[in-house]
Amino acid sequence: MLAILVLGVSVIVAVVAALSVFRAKEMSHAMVGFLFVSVSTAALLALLGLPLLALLQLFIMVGGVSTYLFVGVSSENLSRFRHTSFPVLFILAICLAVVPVYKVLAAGTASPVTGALGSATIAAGISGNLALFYMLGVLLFGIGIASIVMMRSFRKGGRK
Amino acid sequence: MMLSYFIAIGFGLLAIGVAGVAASRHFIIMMLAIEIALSAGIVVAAAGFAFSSGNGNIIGLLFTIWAIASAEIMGMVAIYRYMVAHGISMDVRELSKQRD
Repeated sequence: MLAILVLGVSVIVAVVAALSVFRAKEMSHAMVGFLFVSVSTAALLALLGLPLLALLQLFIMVGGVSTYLFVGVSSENLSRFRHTSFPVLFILAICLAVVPVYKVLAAGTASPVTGALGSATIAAGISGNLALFYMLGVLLFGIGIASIVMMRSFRKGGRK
Repeated sequence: MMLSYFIAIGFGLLAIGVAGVAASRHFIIMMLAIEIALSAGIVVAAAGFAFSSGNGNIIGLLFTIWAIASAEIMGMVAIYRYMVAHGISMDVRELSKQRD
């Protein structure tokens, strides 16, 4: 019961903090959001029965990375432009999350099986879902190439 | 059933991170979005390890992710300092005009 409660609180904190990173106008607030994402990730690791990794996560991500980030980027105060389109973020995040999450939750991953990764035992819901990630990777690669091509044409247009 | 929950949390955070990179145009926010996606990778990897009866070694993979995250942040701060020193805007749309 306590584990479910901690899991729920960690998930809510992680998702709200991750979304607050994109809502924050002040850069230090965005970094506080990222810090809370790291803390809730450490809580999830502790919940999985990996306390050493949870401690390492706290030391590295919260103690090291977030502190360095605070010190290094503290001079950037208020964003002078509207940096994130929140509706686009919301719709895109839902579209990206719903399909794999639905497949994993619907697969019933109680029994691990030997999957496509050699001798590694992975759950059936994940191995059947790898194709989606390949598709996402190919899509992002295509977007990257397209953005380079568009940037080149933009430069050419700008020089005329 | 718990494994499904953890994998779903990982996918959700990954989706927020990837969507954040696509929807934002602030340099620092985009880097933070990549960090969120890396945190999602840590959750998914640890969940897979914890529920696979301890087969394999997770510590190497997680140290790799932590090293990538730390290196990304150090590189980001260095580039940020350069941009501030040269008066370059944090808007990534402006970056493509820098060469002209």
